[in-house]
Order: sequence, then structure tokens, then C-alpha cells
Amino acid sequence: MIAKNPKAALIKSLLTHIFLITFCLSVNFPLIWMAATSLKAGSEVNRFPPKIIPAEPTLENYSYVWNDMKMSSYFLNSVYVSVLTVATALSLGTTAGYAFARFRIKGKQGLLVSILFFRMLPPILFIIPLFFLLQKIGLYNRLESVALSVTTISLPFAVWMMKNYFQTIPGEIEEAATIDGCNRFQAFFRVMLPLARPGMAATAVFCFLSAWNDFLFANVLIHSEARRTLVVALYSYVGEFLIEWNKLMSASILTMIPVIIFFFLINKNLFKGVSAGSIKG
Amino acid sequence: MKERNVGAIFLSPTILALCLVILLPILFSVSMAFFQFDLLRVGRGNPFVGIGHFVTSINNKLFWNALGNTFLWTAANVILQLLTGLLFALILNRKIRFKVVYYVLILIPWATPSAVAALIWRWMLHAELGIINAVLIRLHILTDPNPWLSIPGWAMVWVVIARVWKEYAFCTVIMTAALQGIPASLYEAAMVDGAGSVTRFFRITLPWLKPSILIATVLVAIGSFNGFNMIWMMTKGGPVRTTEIISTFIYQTGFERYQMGRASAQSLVMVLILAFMIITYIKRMKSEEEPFR
Amino acid sequence: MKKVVQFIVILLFTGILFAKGAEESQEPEPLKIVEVEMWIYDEMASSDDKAMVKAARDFEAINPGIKIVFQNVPHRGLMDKFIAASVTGEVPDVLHVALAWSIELGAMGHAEPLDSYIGKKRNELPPGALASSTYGGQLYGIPWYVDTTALFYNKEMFLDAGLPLPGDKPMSWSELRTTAEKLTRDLDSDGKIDQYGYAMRKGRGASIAWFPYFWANGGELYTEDGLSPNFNTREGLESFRFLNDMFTDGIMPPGTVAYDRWDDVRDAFVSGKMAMYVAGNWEIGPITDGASFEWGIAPHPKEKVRSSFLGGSSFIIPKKAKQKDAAWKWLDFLTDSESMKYLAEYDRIPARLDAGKAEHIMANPLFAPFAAEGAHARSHASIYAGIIRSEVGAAFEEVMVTGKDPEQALSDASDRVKAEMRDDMPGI
Repeated sequence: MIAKNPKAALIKSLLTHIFLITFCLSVNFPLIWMAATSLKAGSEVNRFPPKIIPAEPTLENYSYVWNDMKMSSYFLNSVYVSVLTVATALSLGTTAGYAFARFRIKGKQGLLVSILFFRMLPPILFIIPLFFLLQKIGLYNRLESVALSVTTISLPFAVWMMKNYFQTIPGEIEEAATIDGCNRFQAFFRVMLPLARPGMAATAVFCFLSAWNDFLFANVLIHSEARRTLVVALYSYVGEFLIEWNKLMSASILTMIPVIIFFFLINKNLFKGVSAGSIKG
Repeated sequence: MKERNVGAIFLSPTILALCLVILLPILFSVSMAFFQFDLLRVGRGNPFVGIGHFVTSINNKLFWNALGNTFLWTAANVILQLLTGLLFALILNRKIRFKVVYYVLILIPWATPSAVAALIWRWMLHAELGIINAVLIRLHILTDPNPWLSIPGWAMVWVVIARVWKEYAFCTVIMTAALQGIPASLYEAAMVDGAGSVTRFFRITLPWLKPSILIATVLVAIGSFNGFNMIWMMTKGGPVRTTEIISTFIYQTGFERYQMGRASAQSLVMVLILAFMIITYIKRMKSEEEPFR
Repeated sequence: MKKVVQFIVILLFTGILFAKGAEESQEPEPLKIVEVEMWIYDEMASSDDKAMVKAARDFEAINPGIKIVFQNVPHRGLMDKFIAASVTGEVPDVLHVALAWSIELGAMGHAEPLDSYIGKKRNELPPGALASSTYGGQLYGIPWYVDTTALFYNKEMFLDAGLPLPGDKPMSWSELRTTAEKLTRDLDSDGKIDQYGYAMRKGRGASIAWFPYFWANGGELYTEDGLSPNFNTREGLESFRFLNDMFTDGIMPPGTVAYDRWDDVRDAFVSGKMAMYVAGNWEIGPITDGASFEWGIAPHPKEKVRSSFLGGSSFIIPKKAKQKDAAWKWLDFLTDSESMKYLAEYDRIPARLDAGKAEHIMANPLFAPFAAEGAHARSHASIYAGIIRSEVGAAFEEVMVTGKDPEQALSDASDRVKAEMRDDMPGI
């Protein structure tokens, strides 16, 4: 952008930063409170009047949650479910989205809308028949069943998102590739996929979060404590009579850290350069 | 290879997965709506009731209360989440220092487990010890603390704010991804033609974003209709059912009153209304010119 | 993209490195060992140093053919999880449930009747707890620990107001009311009340607070045949009004409409906002931690008879369980007199008539009033318990938040409950 006036540009930039910083601080205030609470020792949590900053900060909650409460093993389970979900949903969503974007398919509109239907029914309603079916096909008490369930309810988003994304990429690009000797499949994998990275990144984030923070499927479909996911373990701190705030907050923060790291890493793909350059030459 | 077949090959794994895993359970749940399915009575038989459950539910004014609240809740969520998401996607689409840091900070609320988010918001809105009251009193907007989540009307406002807080990152991510696809050459050409930034936004950016706005609206609407945790853990549908939405209502019917058949019928009515709204919306959006097609 | 893949690999690697016991070991057993799987909540068996795990090892020592396997499950969503499990038959052999749940699960056909197992044990357990686990004449759950409710009060506020401390005799309603009025004071003469006399939870929690008042007034939740609700009566309205009037007349803090959880009422007490409230023995720990003033426990207020709210938990044996006999042996052990000591770590009162003799109960004077309430504490358990809690709670809300007429609110609640009751299934 050509700045008409360097001073105006500087002020604009400053204002933008101030706005962003203010927003980020206020929107994350609850989390700052969470972090502060997670550093409180048990006796401080129920003390009145409640102070935000702990008088004697301690890391004992984190150590307790990680070791005594076996969060370290549940961590692996969550990772497995989430990675499997992202891989499956992304593959299925990208291929189906591509099909809808580029090919003439009978009843395309009807199919697209029907796929959305799968998302509309409240999962609590079909969880019991789903559990029954999964048990019959041998997936009882397996983390794969959780990944499968979360994948199927994430698919509507994945398909639509990728369909939209592929539609923004000009058809000339594939034509150029096929002229160069690729068949449709090669054109898809070698040319289209790299261009669709921002769409895939957005889909990946959504699927990862859906799987990572899922409670319903992970709680009902898994019966062994050893195969619990992080979020299910987290809920055990939300008691009927008492909430152990300090332990709950440290467990929550531990649960959120991998997600935040994932956000950082996926950024590169989200903010990709535009496709304009790919037509030249 | 015939073009049609290639398309089918790309599409079939998804359709297969959906059919194998979800279709049967969904069909079963749908069929529950036509049988008694009284959990307290399942051992004693499960007679066919036809549209009995539908009639009972439609005659129940609390069902309509829940639906009405759901429309309000959904509209508020869609509008606020879309606007916030779009705003930040646009702001962060430029070259800004520390863009990535800002971006991640903006996304963090999305990572909070929903039960924890609900509890934190409850705590902040606490009538006597909550920070929100403390701040409002300090700013002299209030003289006495308000029990926000127990004031009909205000409770809905705050649960909407809490949910938007948690979910706006979803729209932000969708819009950001979409913005990446806009060729810079379009903007350059427009600027050469003398178009100001407002014109550029309405003539180039917005039309490009239409499909993403469509899918974001649809998914946020579906998510809101089904949204459960925030409301259940903040107000349980209170005060006096002013935040009772259809998903909490259905949960109570099925798991508190143990009437699964009725809950299924209510879900079907909800899905039909939702589907009707969505199809109308999609048709309307599609009937306008799509760019570049 | 590469970075993302690297991250995922690191994540997996880290997870594997730290994972302890993520994979279940399958060792072939030389003896024929029967495994009894137990689902327990509140993380009571989540590590080897917890009392329940020690109990299991002690039990196995006496019963070498049986091995107890724990699965710690979250309390939240446990009913949904178990019902789904029961449909497929993949159930544990023992399920830890809240006291009020065994009736519902029994009526739904998910719990095995225990009459043939319990035998003489029946005489050692409190009749109220047993009654609340019985439906259609069959016992579906065996009570394990109980919670009762009593009156917590702020000693300093009493002394400050020149009032005698509550003694060992329960207050009557009029005494409670007058005391609460005297404790509602404007301490700094600025025209605003700083301290209130009494408080309670709202919504479903209000129902739980109301039940003992209702019973103390001679009320019964159901008619004789159990097919209709019976609280839209003089006894019901008097008790309903008694509590609501304290709010409407300003003896309860205005924030009461927002006291959703026990934490909220406790915070009001601990922060000096109000002087008295009724809650259970689970409050002892948090109040000890949080209160900076002297406080005491008095008996639950009475009217015509004494009453208190009975909560707690029990065990059921799922109908489709595979090791019912072995499961019963374990439950029999857990509910024996010698096993009361395992509850010490969790600060719970054993559900036994000789609970007063348990070491940890005798050692902590704060337990005594709660153990004493056990004799007349009642549970609201029935197959419609959830519906009654929710509708009566709604009635309280209607009165407190929208100022609806109490008589109308209670009557409407009764109608709504009746509409949900099945014509041929009595409540209890």
C-alpha cells in the first residue's frame, strides 16, 4: 500500500497496535485469572477475600496433575485421537470438497445439503445407537471409535470449507497441469493441494479442536481409565459439591498448551502467499 | 478416465464413511420419535405411537419458549461471531509486526474447554464477588452489584457474550483462510482505477468472501442450535427459562424425564426448522451472482 | 506444513516418553482369578495411596480368587455413560452412584435386585437409606456413605448481635425466623443492609433445601399410591412460603437468586454476607479453609418433626454384570463395620447404624451433629426425583425472580410434575 503520508501511516499503525493489544489483553483476561489460580496452593483457593495474584505461588498443582493424576498418560490418548481425526477428516474432506468443486455430480446440491444434516441432529440423541453399532463392529472401548465419531461430525465443515476453497482457485491451473501431461489425480495431489493450504489449515485447526476438547464421545465410548483423554480427566475436577479450582485451572492450562502450540505452527500455512503467481509463466 | 468416475472416486470415501458410521445411528434415533421409548418403561414394551410425541411437544408452550429463545440465541451468535471474526481477519490481513503473536492470542479463547469457560464466566459474573460487577461499580455505571445470570433478559445477553467469546475464533480462521485466496492483482487494478479502501472492500473483498460467509453462518447457526455446555453450566436454562434453548430442553426431556421418544421427536422438529432455514438461506445466497464462475 | 508434521512427531514422542500405564498389560494369570470391575467417581481410587485401593488390596488378601479393577470416571455425565453402556451390555460389575440414582436405574431395569444377596446385612444399615434405594419392593442399591444437612452459623455475628448461640436443640421455624431477622443488620448505619440472617441455593438447589422443611412440617412428596404428587398441600405451601418469605422480606441477601452451586452460598457465608445456612458435612473442609471467624454447627431446624436431607452414595450391581456373586462379596466387605475406616480419608459418614462408632467420626467433633441427623434424615429419591427437583426449583425461581404468587407457583409446579408422571408407575 502506498502511504500518502508517512506520519499518517505511523499513527494508523500505532492505533492498530493499541487496539489489538487492548483487545488481546481483555479477551484473555479470564485466562490470566486461570493461570493465577493455577499457581495457588489449596488453602489459598477458598480464602476470602479472593485475591487475583496468589500470595505464595507454587507449581505443586501442575506436578500433582501431571504425575499423581496421570495426566501424562491421558495426554498421549488425546494426541492420538486428535491426530487421527485431523488426518482422516482432512483427507476425506479435501477429496470430497474437490469433487464437489470441480466435477459434475448427480444431485450435487442435494448431497451437499444432506451432508450438513449429519451435523444438525444433537449428538446426545444418537450416541447410544452409535455406541451400539461401534461395539458390534468391534470398536468397543477403542480410541479409534472416538476419532471416527468426531471425524464424521467434523466432515460437513471440512467438505464445505474445502469445496469453497477449491472454487476460488482458477480452473486454468489444472488445465495447465493436464496439458503438461498430468492426469486428474496427479493434478490434484501435485498442484491443487499445495495451493489449498490455507483452507486445509483452517480445516485442520477446527478438526483438531473438535477432537481435543470433545467430552461426549470420549466419555461414553471409552470405558478404560487408561484410555481417557485429557478433557475427560479434566472433568473429574468439576465436582458436585466442590470445585478444586487450583487443580482444575492447572489441568485446564495443561490441556490448552498443545492447542496453542498448534495454533502457532498452523499459522504459516494459514497466511500463505496468494495463488496469483502460479498462473504466470 | 471418464470425468464422472474420477469425481465419484474422489467423493466415495467420504460418503462411505458417513454412511457406515453415522447414517444408521441417525436413522435409528429418527425412528425413536415414532415409538414410545420411555426409558423408565423399556422393559415393559415399546409401543408404536405414530405422531403422538409430535403432538405432545407442539402443544407444550415450553417447547415453543425454548425454540423462541433458540432463535434469539442463534441470531445473536451468528451476527456477533461473524462480525468479530471478519473484523479481526481483516485487521490481521495486512503486514503488521508480531502478526502471528496477535493471531494466536486472539485464538486462545477457542482452545478453552467449554465447561471450564462456562465456569470462569459464571465466576466473573458472580453477584457479589465477580469482577464484572466490581469493574462496573468502579466505573460508576452501577451502584449495587447485579446478579446478572439471574436477571431475565440480562442472563441471555451474558451467555451470548460468553459463547461469542469462546467461538469467534472459528469465523476468524475461516475468513482469514478465505482472504488468502484473493489475488493481489485485483486490488492493484482497483487502486489504479482510483478506488478507495471502502470501495475496494465492498466491491472486491466482500464478494470474494461470500461463500465463506455462507458456510460460516450455516455452521455457527447449527452450532448454536446444538450449543449446550455454555448455557447448561452457566444458567441451566434459567432464570425462569429465559435462557432455555432447544438443546437443553431436549436433554431434559430425554435424560431427566427419561422420555427418549419425545426427545427424538423434538429433535426432528428442530432439525426440520433448522434445515428449512438453512436451505432458504443457501438458495438466496446462491441466486446472486457468484464471482468468477 | 513441515513444521506441523515435526510438531506432531514431537508431540507423539513426548507423549510416549511420558506415558505411564497408557497401555494395559495383559499377563496370563496362573490361577483362575475373577476380575470385578468397579466404576468409581470423584477420583476416589485414582492412585495407589488412596484408601479405596488399600481396601481392595485388603479384600483381595482375604479373597484370593478375586481381583478388583478400578475405573475412575467423572461424576458428570456418568448416568448417560452408564445407560449407553448398559444398552450394549458392556457394563462394570459394580457402579458407584449417587444415593438417589439407584431407584431410577432399578426402575429402568439396569440394576440387579439385591434382596437375595443382602440378607441380615439389612439390619445394620439405616432404614431411610435402604428405603431410598428400594422400588416396587425390590432393593436396587446398597448405601455406602451418607451426607446429612444441618445449620451452619457464624458465632461472631450471634455474639455481636447479643444473641445466645444455638444449642443442641433444633430451632423451630419461628425461632429461626426471629433469629434471622435480628441478624439482618445495617452495621455502619448507611441505610444499606450489610449482613443478612439466612441464605439458600436457588433453582434445583432450592428444592434440596426445601425438602427437609417440607418433611419437618409433616409433608409427603407423593400420595399413598405414589401416583400423584402431594406437595400442593397446606404442609407444602407453609414450608414453601416460609423460605420464600425470608427472601421477599429481605432477610436473605438479594444475591440469593444467583446462588446456583453450594460454592456460592458458602462464599456468602465465608465472606460475612450472611449468618446462617443449611448445608451438609461436605462443607466442613472448605469452610475450615476459608472462614476467618468462629463458626458452629447446630441441628437442622424442625417444626412438627425433625428432618434433614439425606444424600450420599451407594453401589449398584448392573443387571448385565458378569461377576455378580464376586461383586457382592466386595460390596459386602465395603459396607462392613470394619470397613468404615476407609471412608476417613474422604471425610464421609458411613451409611451404617453404628456410624457414630467409626474412629474418624468420633475423632472429629464437627461430624457429630451430622451423624446425629442421620436418625431422621430422609432422601427424596424416587423415579421422578429429577423432575420434582427441577419443577419445584423453577417455582422458587418464579417467586424470587419474577415475584409470582407462591401459592400459584407451587400449584403450577405440582401440575407440571403430575403431567410427567406415568399413570401406572408410582414414584416410590
